[in-house]
Amino acid sequence: MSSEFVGLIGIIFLIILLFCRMWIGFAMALVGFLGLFYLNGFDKAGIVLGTIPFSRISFYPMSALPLFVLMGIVVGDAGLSSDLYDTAYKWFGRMRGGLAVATVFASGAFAAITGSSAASVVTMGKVALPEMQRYKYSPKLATGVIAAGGTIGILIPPSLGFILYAILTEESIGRLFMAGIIPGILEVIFYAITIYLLCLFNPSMGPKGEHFKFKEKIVSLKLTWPVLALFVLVIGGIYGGIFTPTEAGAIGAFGAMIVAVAMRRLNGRGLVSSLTQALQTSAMIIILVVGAFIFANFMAVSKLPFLFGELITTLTVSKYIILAGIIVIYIILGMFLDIFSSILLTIPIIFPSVLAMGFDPIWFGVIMVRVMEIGLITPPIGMNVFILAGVTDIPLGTIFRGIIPFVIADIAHVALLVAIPSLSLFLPNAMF
Amino acid sequence: MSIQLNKAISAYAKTVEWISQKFSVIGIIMLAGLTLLTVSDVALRFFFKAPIIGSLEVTELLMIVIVYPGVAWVAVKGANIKVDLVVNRFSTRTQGIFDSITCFLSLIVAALIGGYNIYEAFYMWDRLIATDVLEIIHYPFFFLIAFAFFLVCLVLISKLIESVKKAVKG
Repeated sequence: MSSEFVGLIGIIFLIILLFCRMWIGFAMALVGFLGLFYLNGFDKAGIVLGTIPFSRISFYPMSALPLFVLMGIVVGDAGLSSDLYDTAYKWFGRMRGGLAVATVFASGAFAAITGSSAASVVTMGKVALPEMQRYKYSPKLATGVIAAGGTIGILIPPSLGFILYAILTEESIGRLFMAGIIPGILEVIFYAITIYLLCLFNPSMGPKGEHFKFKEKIVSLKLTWPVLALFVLVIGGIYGGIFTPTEAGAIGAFGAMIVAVAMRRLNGRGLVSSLTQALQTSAMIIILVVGAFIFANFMAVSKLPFLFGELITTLTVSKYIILAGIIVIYIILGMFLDIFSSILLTIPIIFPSVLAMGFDPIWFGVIMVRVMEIGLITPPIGMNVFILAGVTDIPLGTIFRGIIPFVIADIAHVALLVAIPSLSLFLPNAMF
Repeated sequence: MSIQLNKAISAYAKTVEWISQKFSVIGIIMLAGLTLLTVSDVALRFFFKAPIIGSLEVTELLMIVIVYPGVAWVAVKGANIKVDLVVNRFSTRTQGIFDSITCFLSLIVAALIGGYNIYEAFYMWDRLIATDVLEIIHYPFFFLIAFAFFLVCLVLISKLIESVKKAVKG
């Protein structure tokens, strides 16, 4: 049996284990170990199990992970997203569909400092939805925009998806962070245009909201300073070369604590709670990372990903058709798996093929993360939809129907990013 | 006999949960420490051109002390990521059968990782392998990883018992 065939059997076995509800990190570690055992013998396979949990985790860029998680949790617990919504509400609420636009802008700004999709959906579900219901917004539009808005977090830095991608592919976290900024802003604009068009053709979907005086609008901007300050601190610090993206996690987490304490929204007990949540999230991801590296080791020994790469380069079809195939695979994966698992599961298999086709790895990182976001709102899983249904009393079917226009906007957005790579690459190339 | 057995199982689960939670406190404290260390390092470097010597090594090793103490606690909470899509559609008894099998397989993986980290720890101990700048020896970190995975094994045994009960009783 050739090593490549063993690799293929390994992938099939892994899929079976995943559908049997085995913890993903342990399933990858098991398949990786068994594959290495078959190909290299028990001792060498054992050495991989004995060394990877230390060598791959005591790796400097990895420390960005718990620190950015902590930053996001502190910001979320401090309730800064409600402030963002209040400001956006005062500026856009009067427009037709304005409350929905405000939700998108608030989600985008909140995402800029947390990178957490779930946190955004939960908060906006509690803050924005009652307001939209008060002004008789269509439940489809109200819930669709909240679920879709939550996905912005993974693209706008700091993004945990980019950190994991960078660690696995040995790309620069800083370059990936920069690469996500323009596509993230464009995503917000695409959603805003979608809302505008929906309300243009069916004004009853998003009636006009309360009117605020210009002075009130200006005063409301003071609520946004913490978020703006944190974003400038983290991204400005990286861009200015004051600290590394890894250090930016600690600076951001510390800055978030200072802001939250200054606003009297964080006390000792809250800090312990935030640290506990950050630890649990980080430990959960670390198990996935350890499993992914053991599995990646097996994939490398099996030479299967390189065979895929060679096969793809010999195909006579355009590499963009192959890319379209990869995008479809990622959308499907995104429907069943969370973004971390999707990245960690597929990078060892797909990344060599991407390089073989001559695609820029930073650009591909943006496309991959962007496409997986779509999976967060598409049936049958659509994590954001489930979360929103959990915090509101809106039926799943209504939310899924409300999502459709935003999924169409997502597809148009991805097509634009594929057609114009410089949208993703301009900032990282200008920076480094 | 059955009541006593149930009591023993429940006491075992509670004990494992207690140990896992207490162990995770190490990670919580170290995460706060890592934040302060990195902020201090950046501030000293930026304002005084005097970074903390060996901060990179300490950061790397702190990662081990932060995340692994939380691994068993995550397992207790059942927060590990899994695909529910297929198994959720089956009866409780069938779900118990699937969970028993996957729990048992996970138990093997955790035991193997723990065992091989003990092996590596002794290897590092024999050669006194340490970091370059601060010469921090590596082997205690391997022992910590091993302990973390053995603790996961204890959690998994508790979950395995639960799953078998579900598979038998439905």
